[in-house]
Amino acid sequence: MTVDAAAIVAEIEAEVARRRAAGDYPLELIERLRTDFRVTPNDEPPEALAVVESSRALRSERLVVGPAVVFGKRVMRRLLAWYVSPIAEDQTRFNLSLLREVRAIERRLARVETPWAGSTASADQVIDSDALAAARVTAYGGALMAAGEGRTLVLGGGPSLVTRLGAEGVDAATADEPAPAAGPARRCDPLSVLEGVPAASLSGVVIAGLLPRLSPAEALRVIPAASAALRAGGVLVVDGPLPTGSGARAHPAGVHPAMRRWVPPETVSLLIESAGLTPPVVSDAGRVDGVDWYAVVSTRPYE
Amino acid sequence: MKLAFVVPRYGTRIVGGAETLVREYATRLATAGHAIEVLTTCARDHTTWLNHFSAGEAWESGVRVRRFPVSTRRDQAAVARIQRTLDAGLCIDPASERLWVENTGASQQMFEAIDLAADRVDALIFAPYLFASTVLGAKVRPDRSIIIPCLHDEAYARFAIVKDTLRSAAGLIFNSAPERDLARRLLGDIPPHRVVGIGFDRPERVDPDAFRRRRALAGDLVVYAGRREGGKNFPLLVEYVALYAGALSRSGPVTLVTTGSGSVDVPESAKRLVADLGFVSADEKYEAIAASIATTLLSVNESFSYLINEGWLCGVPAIVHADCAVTCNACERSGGGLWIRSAEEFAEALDRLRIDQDLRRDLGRAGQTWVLQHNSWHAVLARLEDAVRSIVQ
Repeated sequence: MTVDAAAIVAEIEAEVARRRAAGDYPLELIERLRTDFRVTPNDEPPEALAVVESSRALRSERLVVGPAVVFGKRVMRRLLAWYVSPIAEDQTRFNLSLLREVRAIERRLARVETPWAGSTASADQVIDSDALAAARVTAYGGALMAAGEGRTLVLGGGPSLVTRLGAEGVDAATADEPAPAAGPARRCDPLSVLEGVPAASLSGVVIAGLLPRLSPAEALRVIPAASAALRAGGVLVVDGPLPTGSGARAHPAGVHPAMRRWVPPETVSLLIESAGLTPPVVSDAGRVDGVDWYAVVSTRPYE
Repeated sequence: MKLAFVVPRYGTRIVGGAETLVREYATRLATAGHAIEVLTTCARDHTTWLNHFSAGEAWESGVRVRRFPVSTRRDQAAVARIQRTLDAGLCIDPASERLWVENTGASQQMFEAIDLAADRVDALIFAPYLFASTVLGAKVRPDRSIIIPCLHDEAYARFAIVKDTLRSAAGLIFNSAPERDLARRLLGDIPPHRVVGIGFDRPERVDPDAFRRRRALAGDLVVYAGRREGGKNFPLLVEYVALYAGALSRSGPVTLVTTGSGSVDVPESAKRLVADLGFVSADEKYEAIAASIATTLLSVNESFSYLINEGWLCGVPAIVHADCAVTCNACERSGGGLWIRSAEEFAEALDRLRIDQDLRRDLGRAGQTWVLQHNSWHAVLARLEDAVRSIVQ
């Protein structure tokens, strides 16, 4: 006998969502009972210092009266314990809660500010494969051709993508550093490249598989920078692995070790729209090594 | 084979998944003709670690049991201080980790016995990962040590001292595939390992009606059996049951029947909804389960669940927490249970099981089929013997 428990759970979740939306549940009561399940992170441990002890080892350097002094201090401490201990416990609770918040802020900051990181050549070879380049050219080579004459800057995608776009008649160039004697080219930092390009100088920009490798702060800057580099009528293409495809990995690092987060096409579209480009068109950019890729294409409008 | 199991506590009245698992493994392997001994402490209570049993040797169900006194007197203040830091979601330094571990029933005499036993048995098998008997004991002769970690995704599993012990063992035996995946996430490369699991026998005769009459219980029941403590999310279960009765149910309240160890500190308003049976016999536990609509386990720290498997043996579906990979995975693979992550989903799942008898029967049967196929003792012991042989070779 087979029972699709997942389908029943999905029905339950949908029913609960519907009833929540309809206001069927006493929200105030339920909110009060929410329980936060949190996995303890692997932090550095200065935290032990946050614990305030209400009693410490008693000692005296005096030779003769030392024991009496220690005894006296011990008696004094016992007498005051009813007052001191609760204060120490309160202070400890406060310290620990403060530390927890500081750690949370540290983690959030790290997520936002993580700078561009290079990657190994072998990892790049996986996502710069010729098969993926062919699928990419099929997905958006035509749009780049339609942009007309002018240079198209290709960021990511590897030499195979540049070669294939060139074969289609696109004047494609990469900013990646030339390949050393052994191994592929070294991947450029897309943000620093785009911010160094003269305004309105390009007819096309391709950001291939790089957005998931940027920090959120960088991702917010890279699309406006690409937009500024495009002339009116120039085409911007952003592609990336689809988080929800049938072959999706549990974490984007399964696609490429330097990918830190999924960036779905909806997010890319929002970034493009907010940069003032034409409404983006999302398309399928092929399936390579079990991973589905998407492409988002937009154009810089004429003033 | 000659095997020595090392556990912090051992005995028929010791409550705990890993302790029960080792007792079952040891007894059944001895029955199958293997020479089995158990090295353990004299402690019965894992909160005080006081020496309760007499030190020395005894034969229990064909197993040679050697008990050693706990040598480190538990420093409750130090443990409380460390625990407070861990509970706040923060980490502790290596010295505090060691102090914490040493306060979990360390026995110097047992460590010496482990060293002596290592050369006359085929393997030393330690369980679970959390206590001094394993964290320090498996370091005595790591080359001869196999650990059944019963790993949970919790702060202790991130202790450097724990990771070091697990990494240096000759091999690991897991109870489930999600537990193995957790070990990989925590440790990176892991030593040679196998997934073995826990076996179950079909209960011979279960009379749920007699249980209801004997305990004077009417109406629909749900059951929780195990340690009644925060770490198992038992308070959350009580809250959900109370909330279900007070605000969310479409079919009236249910009674939560609960058995096992730990104090059941139930709010006054929920007392009428909870039937605390305390420690009961295995037969009565099965009767309580068979009399229930569902087994309910909201713990998010499980390496394996006896309760939901025992429920399936009785044809009773399970309700588990969606944040527990192990129980959730078991329910999904077997089709024997539902997983929830809020009071509303708990209520919706329970309402469905109460109203739709076909659904309840189908889930229960699917779970029963699965547990009989995968977790019969015959299959489990064969996997265990194979795992030990492959690791020690």
